[in-house]
Amino acid sequence: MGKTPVDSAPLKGVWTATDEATTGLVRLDIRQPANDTLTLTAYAASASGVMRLAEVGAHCYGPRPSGSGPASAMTAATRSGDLSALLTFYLKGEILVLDAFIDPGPRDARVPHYARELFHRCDDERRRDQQARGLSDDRRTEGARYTDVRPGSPPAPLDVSLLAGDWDNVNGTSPDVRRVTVSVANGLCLQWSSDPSGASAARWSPIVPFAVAADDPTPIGFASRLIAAGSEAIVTSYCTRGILVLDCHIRCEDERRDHLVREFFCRPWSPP
Amino acid sequence: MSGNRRRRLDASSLAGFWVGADRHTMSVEAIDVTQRDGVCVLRVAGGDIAGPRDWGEVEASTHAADVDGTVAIGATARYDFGFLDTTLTCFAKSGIVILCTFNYWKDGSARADYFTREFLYRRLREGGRDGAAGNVSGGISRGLDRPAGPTAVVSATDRGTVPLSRSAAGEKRTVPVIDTASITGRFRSCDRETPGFLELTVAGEARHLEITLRAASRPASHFGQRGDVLAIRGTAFGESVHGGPAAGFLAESQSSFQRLVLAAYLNKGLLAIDTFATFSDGSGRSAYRSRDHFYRVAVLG
Repeated sequence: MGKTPVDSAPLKGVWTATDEATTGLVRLDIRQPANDTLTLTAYAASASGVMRLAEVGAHCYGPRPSGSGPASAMTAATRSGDLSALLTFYLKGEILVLDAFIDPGPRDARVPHYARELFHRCDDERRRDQQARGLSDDRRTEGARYTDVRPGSPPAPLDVSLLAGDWDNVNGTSPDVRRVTVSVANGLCLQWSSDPSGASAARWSPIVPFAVAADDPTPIGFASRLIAAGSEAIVTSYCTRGILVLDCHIRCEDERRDHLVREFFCRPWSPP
Repeated sequence: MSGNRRRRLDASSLAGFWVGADRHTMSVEAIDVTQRDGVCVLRVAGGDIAGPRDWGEVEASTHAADVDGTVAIGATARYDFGFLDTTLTCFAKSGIVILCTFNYWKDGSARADYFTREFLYRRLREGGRDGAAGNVSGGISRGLDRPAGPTAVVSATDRGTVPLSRSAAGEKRTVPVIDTASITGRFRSCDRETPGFLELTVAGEARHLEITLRAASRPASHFGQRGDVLAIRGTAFGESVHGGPAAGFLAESQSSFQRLVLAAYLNKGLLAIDTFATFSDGSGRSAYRSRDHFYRVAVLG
């Protein structure tokens, strides 16, 4: 029996940034022009008004590897000039949460960085309220996240030693990843364990680090791509207040459905 | 909950008409926030099948991001409906308000105390709208209050007419159990540099939780002397009126110098605690809200 396709209906439509002063994406238009095709058109803040970025393909994920639950997550990759960004989305109480991993490009002085942006479904009443206050697509945004260019020497590579070491899943009953190890000594790479004993898989996977902001090289997370028998995963992570949040967007070639696994990790420690 | 009269914060950042991102919610459909004479006033609309119910106005205590803050980023408030106490805790972030409600039954009806968390965005910058057309009545403040659950079909004429404190036969119903196993135990902060609480222990049963917290041994700690141990009583809340595993807890305390509200919820093994602290010692410190995360290091025997 074939797997049930993931229904993208909860993602489709026009979404608006909750932050009306955003320097990032102002609006998203998610469509399904054909049965097996999902597209994202993003509109970004820029110095010359809100700018439409090129339409890109997107991929949706269910909440679990089995069952029939509709899509609760999505990934896409976008470009704007030399800038590229991995966009990972998930739905939380009808808020579409974007975790963006942005690489400004080789000729940009900004560091590769992480950003979180939130969206709600298009609301005409809110739009009218904003227009009445002079907030339209003509607004000009300095230091825009996706459309600004800051010429200069490429920044120094990020020092991810702050993230290095073992991270244990706070959910002791998780059937998925139990421990994540980030290594700097072996080159920037990631290893994980699904074994309750914490025994790690033999293979290390390279990671790309991201900073907390375009002008702050403090490392906050990373992105990686893992390929295993029967599946391929886009792995992204960010760290906040001692927690490592790990998202695995898993595309399955076997009978499992494409799905998102989100887990929380911390470094076990003992107070003095 | 009394208003924040000691040091008033600028609540204009919270003001406006906020609506639930989930447009079919049976929980909180909207909050209208206004600032009048320096006091933050909330008016909530509870979602229900036949339309929203007006909860009326209530004064909120506002909280800054830290003790030196002048701008409100969060608030707490309480609605006493007679049959139900609903405590609201919220904070604003990235253009949304993240709202938790802790709902404590007082009518002896067969409903378990429950917790909700939802996300609202600001539809209108100006608050001060009229309340919703429907009223809180008959033991119902919103669709989630119904024992049959949010999908039950109740006609508009039935709304607010069925007392829920007793069954049709008149006998007292058994209140569904909230299993506190998920939230009891010894928890440690994920952040070893926290200026807040390093560890806490949660023990006891649904309406009789005993929470013991150990403050960080850091100068920045505002929870008392360094390394102080603080004991607070709390209540566990399930995910619905049907009971089941505890999803969070609410605990409040009043000491000689501060009032604390701890609003906690569990997410995949991570215990998130929002602390709302208000000082009464004349120190001039602002009431503030902070967030800490904890992982469980031991299950209590």
